[in-house]
Amino acid sequence: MATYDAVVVGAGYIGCAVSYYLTKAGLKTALIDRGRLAAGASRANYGNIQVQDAELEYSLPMILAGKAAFETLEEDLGYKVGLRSIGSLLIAESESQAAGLQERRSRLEEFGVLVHWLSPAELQRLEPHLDAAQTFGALYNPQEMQLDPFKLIWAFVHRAQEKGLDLQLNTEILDFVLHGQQVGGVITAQGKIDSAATILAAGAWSAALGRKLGLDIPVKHVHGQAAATDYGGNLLNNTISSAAFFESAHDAAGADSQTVLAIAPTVHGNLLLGEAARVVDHFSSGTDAGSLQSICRTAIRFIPELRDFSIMRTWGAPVAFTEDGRPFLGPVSGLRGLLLAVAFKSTVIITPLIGRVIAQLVTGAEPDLDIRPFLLSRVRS
Amino acid sequence: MVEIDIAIIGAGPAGLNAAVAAADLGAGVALIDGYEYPGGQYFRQFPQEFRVSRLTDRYKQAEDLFAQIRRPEITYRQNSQVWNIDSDLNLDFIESSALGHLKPKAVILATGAYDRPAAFPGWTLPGVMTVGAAQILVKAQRVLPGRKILIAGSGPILLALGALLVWAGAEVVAVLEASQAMKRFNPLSVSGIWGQSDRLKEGWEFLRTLRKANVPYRQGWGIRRALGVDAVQGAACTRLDQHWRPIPGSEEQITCDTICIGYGFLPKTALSCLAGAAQIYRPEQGGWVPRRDNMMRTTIPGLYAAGDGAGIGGAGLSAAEGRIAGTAAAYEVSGKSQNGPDLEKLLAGLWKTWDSEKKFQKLFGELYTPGPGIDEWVDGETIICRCERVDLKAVDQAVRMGASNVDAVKGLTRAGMGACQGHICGRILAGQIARLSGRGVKEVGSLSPRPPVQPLSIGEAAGS
Repeated sequence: MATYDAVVVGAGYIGCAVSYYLTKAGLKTALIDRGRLAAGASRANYGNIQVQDAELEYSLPMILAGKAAFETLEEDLGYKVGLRSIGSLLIAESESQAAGLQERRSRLEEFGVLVHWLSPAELQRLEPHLDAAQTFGALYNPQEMQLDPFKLIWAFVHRAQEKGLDLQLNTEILDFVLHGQQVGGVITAQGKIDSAATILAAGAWSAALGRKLGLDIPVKHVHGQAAATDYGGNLLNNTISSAAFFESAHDAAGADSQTVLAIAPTVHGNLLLGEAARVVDHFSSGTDAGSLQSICRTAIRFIPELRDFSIMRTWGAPVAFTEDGRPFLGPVSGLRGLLLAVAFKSTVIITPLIGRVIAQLVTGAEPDLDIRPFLLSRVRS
Repeated sequence: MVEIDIAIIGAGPAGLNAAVAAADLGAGVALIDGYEYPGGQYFRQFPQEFRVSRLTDRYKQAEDLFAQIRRPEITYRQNSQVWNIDSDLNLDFIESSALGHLKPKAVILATGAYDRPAAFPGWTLPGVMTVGAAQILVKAQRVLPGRKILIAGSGPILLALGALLVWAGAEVVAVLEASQAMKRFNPLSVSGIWGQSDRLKEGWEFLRTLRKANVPYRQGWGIRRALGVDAVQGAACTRLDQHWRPIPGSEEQITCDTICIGYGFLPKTALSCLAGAAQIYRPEQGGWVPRRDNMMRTTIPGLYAAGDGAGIGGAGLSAAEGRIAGTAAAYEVSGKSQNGPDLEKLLAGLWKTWDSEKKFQKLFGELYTPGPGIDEWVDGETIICRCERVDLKAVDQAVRMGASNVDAVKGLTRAGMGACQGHICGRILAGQIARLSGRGVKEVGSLSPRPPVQPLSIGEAAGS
């Protein structure tokens, strides 16, 4: 029966970053995951570090603070994680989306983020292989970034292991240890893990885990699917996604998959094509022909030359979301010893920051972030 | 339009026999195969445009089987590639650039095998190819792979290729067999040889052809490195010990312009993995294979696997397994009990053949399964993942960074993430990681396949 300072549930971006900062602070930490490393949404992620698509009402300060952490991250970790600069484009597919993007631009400007509005003609010049006639213009931020998801996660885990992290993969959480109103750790098939602090960073699985504690954590998920091409990187200079994402992507329940354009060139020269998403109850890493068809039709619509390139592999993952687009971060009233870090809309960009903030909350240091807008209590009756 | 009860994927010996066995019991069968003609690799057919002047016994066997699948119960879909399957047996395939979908009551995977790649310095030079590739060039395209051909590897297929090349008029400079097991082999004392007289006759003929052409056949020899700048100009060969490790000081240079390597086969298990079938590690059968019972059932309900695609065992075993799977699956889809005496009676005779073929499979495994030395021929500059140009140094670095399984090394180096999706490098990568980390090959795991199991163009996937 082991006793830890902290046990982290979920070895994705957030869980691994949290584990790194906890072990860095000298805390005896265990990191548990039901599957392999980054088995859920994190492994399916493009690795985009984007500011301009942030949830605007509450998250922007967090996003900007998060971005700053990347300036020294590779140095701090002693690891190259494939970090590079790349611009991002938010494409308007309708007049109303174009208007929405213009509004987004003013809001971003208030925070000192200067993005450019491009007419379809200007967009065409910037991206010669894109069929800009399919668009009503785009928002362009030349100063976004991208990294290799697996390398970042590995860097956090490896450095944490060097500082004593107890990594337990392929280990299901059966229940939590509860002493009255105090969460005292977790119970797995391998045994009990007593811990002063328990951090829930399990993405789409967080709702089910919360129920074991009698907690209603309203995290839903889509089954997101994407595909990777073989070589095709020279067709696109920036990452592109559609402003349709802000509208109804996560409202569309039901059997039909809805594809919203999301294409990113990687530093390795292939293109990531996506994203088909459907709100579901089940958890799956599979892909289906219908979704792939939808992804490919969307891709060809915007980049006709893609027709002759090949799909090397497809993947799917449960991707968590919340109604208001804000994560659940921080303590839960009525239950001591538990911290939440789930359902981030913009994840990669705030990963190091959240890791740091959770470690601060655990050690009692002043957190680098005002977490009040992200507490679970905002939705609890 | 026949209702499809059973989809059989692959029309080689296993698939053809499964189709006939199932159809004999009245099941509606879809026989789906990626090539233009049935027969798989074993019964590889010539394009109609080429006339064939010599037909061996094997081809007469094949003609028989091909005739048997022409019947109303069997819908034969050619040029049809299955690229995805799930645990509910939803199948996606692509046929002449059009997408198709099937959800049959049962599926028999008869996907066959492919040449096992082996890495050594210079293996990426033009002029290095697999034995299988050379056979296809000669048999199906009537093209010689080169002028001075060195054959290296393990198993009787080396003799078959050597003889084929001699008949075709090429100069075979040598055949290097890595295994020394045949030197001590006494056919009369090994039960695995019973009933294999056709095979022995074939092998003896090949050897005679090579001897008559003065082609050296060396046992306990292997390739150390391929030599050349822009293409193969020669090979450094070496004696190997019983574990396939190069014996220092025994190196010899051989002039050649083509090197055909054949170190056995790997089963194509990707579809069984996608369907979620449990896998077990059987090095003598090619590595990770789907777990099956004696009716060829995998751990996924309704999913069967037969032949080399579920474990290397040769054409005889493939045929027997195909018949067992076809019979058992036909029972399942007709709602008849698989546990009753009727099916047992039907299978009793098939199981006897199966047992005797398995003895041969075991013997073959003992003679020709590569020794651990096969993973020791590389040096730091040797390319491990050809698609992403990942060399051994990079793999070593990843292992030093704590990555001790295939999945983690893939994530850090990109090995296995290129166009072939680990088809070529997967087994090599596992062997290298095992060697560098001091773990067993079984412990380091394998690359997880993802759909599509072969590339689809975006235009095709988009449909019309």
